[in-house]
Amino acid sequence: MIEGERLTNLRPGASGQISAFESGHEAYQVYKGIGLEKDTEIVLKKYLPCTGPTFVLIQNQHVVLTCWEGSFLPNRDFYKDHLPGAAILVQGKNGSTQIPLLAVGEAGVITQVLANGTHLEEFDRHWIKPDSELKLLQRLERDPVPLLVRAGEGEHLLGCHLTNKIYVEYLKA
Amino acid sequence: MKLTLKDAERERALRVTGLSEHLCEFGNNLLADFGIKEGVILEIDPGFVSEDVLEVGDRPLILGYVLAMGGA
Repeated sequence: MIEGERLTNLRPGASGQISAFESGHEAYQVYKGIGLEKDTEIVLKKYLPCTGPTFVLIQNQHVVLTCWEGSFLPNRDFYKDHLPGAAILVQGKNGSTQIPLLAVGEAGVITQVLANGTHLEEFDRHWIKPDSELKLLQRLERDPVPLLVRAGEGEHLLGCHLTNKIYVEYLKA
Repeated sequence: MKLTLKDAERERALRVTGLSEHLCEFGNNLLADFGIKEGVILEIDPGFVSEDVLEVGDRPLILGYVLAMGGA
């Protein structure tokens, strides 16, 4: 919550202090690990389309990290029963950062894996753990998903085959 | 390269600049029924199709939508 308002209700450009977390203990540990605590000042910059599968080299082993709502997992089957909120921090050339913020070709060393116990075991099985070397090889687009679009007073759900055939421009920077 | 609705930022005012010539007749009719045509202003609802890009201090941070909603 940002000053009483849920983060996901904020408009891009809004800012404020975190007033509360509505989450369980495990999720709170993830927030803390990535630097979000009560009273932290944040700015919501923008909402981007979710990332697709990301190919990485970990200890010279190829691993595909599947993105599920911004969280990364080693395979698709794994997230069927869970909606995890894991984060992997890597010491890259610009300091400690998350995998989605690494550039393609950038390498680093994993410093922290923030996830609950079940997920940690799976990460560990793929050498996704502190001190492992990681290089980001390729980032794919996410499979297209239907989008809920607001136009005037109306709301329309547009399927994947329509959303990539509508050309748009931003109204203001 | 033209920006498509699929790749556009969510919850941001967008103007439709055109429709692909590869749209089938059904798609054309559907969009016409919805009133989605060149010049129309629209916005994508960010729910479950977005990553939240934050700035904390001078540091960028990305939250998946589930994490942004408090789940883990």
